Amino acid sequence: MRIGIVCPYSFDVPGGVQFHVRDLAQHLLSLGHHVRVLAPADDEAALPDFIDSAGRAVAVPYNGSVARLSFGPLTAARVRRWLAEGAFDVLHLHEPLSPSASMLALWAAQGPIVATFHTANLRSRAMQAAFPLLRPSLEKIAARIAVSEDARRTLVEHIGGDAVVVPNGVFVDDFARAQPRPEWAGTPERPVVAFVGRLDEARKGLPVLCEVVPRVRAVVPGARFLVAGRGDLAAARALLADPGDVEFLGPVDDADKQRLLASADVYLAPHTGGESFGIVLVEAMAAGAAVAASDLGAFRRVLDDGAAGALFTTGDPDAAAAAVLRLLAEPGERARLAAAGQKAARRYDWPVVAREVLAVYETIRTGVAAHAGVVPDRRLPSGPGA
Amino acid sequence: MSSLAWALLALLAVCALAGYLSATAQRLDRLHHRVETSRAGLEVELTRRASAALELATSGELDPATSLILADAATASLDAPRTPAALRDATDADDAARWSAESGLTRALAVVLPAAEPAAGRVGDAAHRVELARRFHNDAVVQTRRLRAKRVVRWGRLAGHARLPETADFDDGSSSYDS
Repeated sequence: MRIGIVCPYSFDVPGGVQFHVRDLAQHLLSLGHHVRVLAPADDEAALPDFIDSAGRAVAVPYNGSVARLSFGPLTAARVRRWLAEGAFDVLHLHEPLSPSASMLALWAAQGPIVATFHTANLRSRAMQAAFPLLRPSLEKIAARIAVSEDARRTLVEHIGGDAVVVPNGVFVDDFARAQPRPEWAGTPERPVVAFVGRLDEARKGLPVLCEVVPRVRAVVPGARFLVAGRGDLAAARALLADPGDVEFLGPVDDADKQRLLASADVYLAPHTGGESFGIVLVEAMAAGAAVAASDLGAFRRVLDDGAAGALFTTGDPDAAAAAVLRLLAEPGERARLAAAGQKAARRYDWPVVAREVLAVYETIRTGVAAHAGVVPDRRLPSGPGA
Repeated sequence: MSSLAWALLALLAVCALAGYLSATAQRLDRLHHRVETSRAGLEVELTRRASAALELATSGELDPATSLILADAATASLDAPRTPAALRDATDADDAARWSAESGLTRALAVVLPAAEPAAGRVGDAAHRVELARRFHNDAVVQTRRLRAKRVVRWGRLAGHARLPETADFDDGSSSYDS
């Protein structure tokens, strides 16, 4: 199948949507499909060879934070040319409501179009004002994918219609095989609690974590808190009563993230909102850490309502500390949750998720073919060229 | 203002209105096409599910009672009347009987499949495709009906003779089905 994927965010900076697009494309390529990705990027030479640049990304304030997006007549022309040269069987757009390459591709394209909605930022006033202009384009999307039941609900409430749920993918084996790093590995006296996330976005929960730290260390003085993620370290330390309580690792690469999660006894996810999926939870589960997380809807679903990880009241440091302490005090319970988590994480393994994405592609192509009068027989083996 | 200017202004307004009507008609046409293709896709996936179920029922892998129940539900689905996919060719044929047969097959499969692993793999796969196809079809229908409810479409008769599409209301086994 010839598949075109469009990502609205620049590959020059790391981000959940970019990783998702890269990994999906890589997995589809490994299955033998023809895949091209279009995304904003400053330096095309630094990109994997299946990614084409949609033009330079410009940092603009959008929806409360600074996003690196690509728009304007030059980008629009590039998108149109890319579509014409690609001759795709299926066009898969990510975040078509972000004012960037995906929106321009949707505007310019027709045919079998799939769109994935990662976060549902549909409540903004700009979105409400511009929505009548966007609706005709959105009507072209033949199949909508939401990354979680929560994202699907927001979509249905705000723009109507329906969507199917296909979760984000994780290369589970990479995390399951990761070896702990000796200096990060926990011991019975010095257990390790890990957190990965941006330091300067309060909704990722660092302020809550900083209140959890003294509560946990009051009971388990040896407990270590390892925090990885980009952001202002000085501002993060200022949140702590005793700045020596937390070890900040700064931004880490994929390999170190895997090893950190494999080293941790407990992974703490104190997010306070705005999460539509919770990929980092799945990564921690895959790496074998016991997870303690806020009881946000998306997290509850990933953790099977507490069967695959401990849940605590969102934004409540006392409840969070109690959950962490219970896991530290009871190695048996910790091992049980870690094992349940590793099993639950399989649901999000890329081979499973990519099969679901392909089922979406094939379903809409079946309709187009059937309407034109030809239906492929699925009983025959469908090779990569199908 | 001179009468020429007024005439030009009126001409401009007429052109703008014509442009708007034509753009809306194009939008509607695109949506109708989407409804037709998604409906055609749903028909294919339903037929595949029913034939896979019938194949499982006659494979000898199930006990005779289960086989008979599944075969009955599968043939009921295969024998149910098909309405043409194209909105322009469609009559007001009632899909209710069709959908009740499909709901019946879903319920039969819900009982049979958990016990029939791994022989159930192909049927389970086909059932999942039915869920997808139904969602995509209903999404297209909802958006089409929304546009067709607009005054400009009704007064301008932009929909022509195309039948107003209906959602496919049957139990496909997904949790979001509620009625």
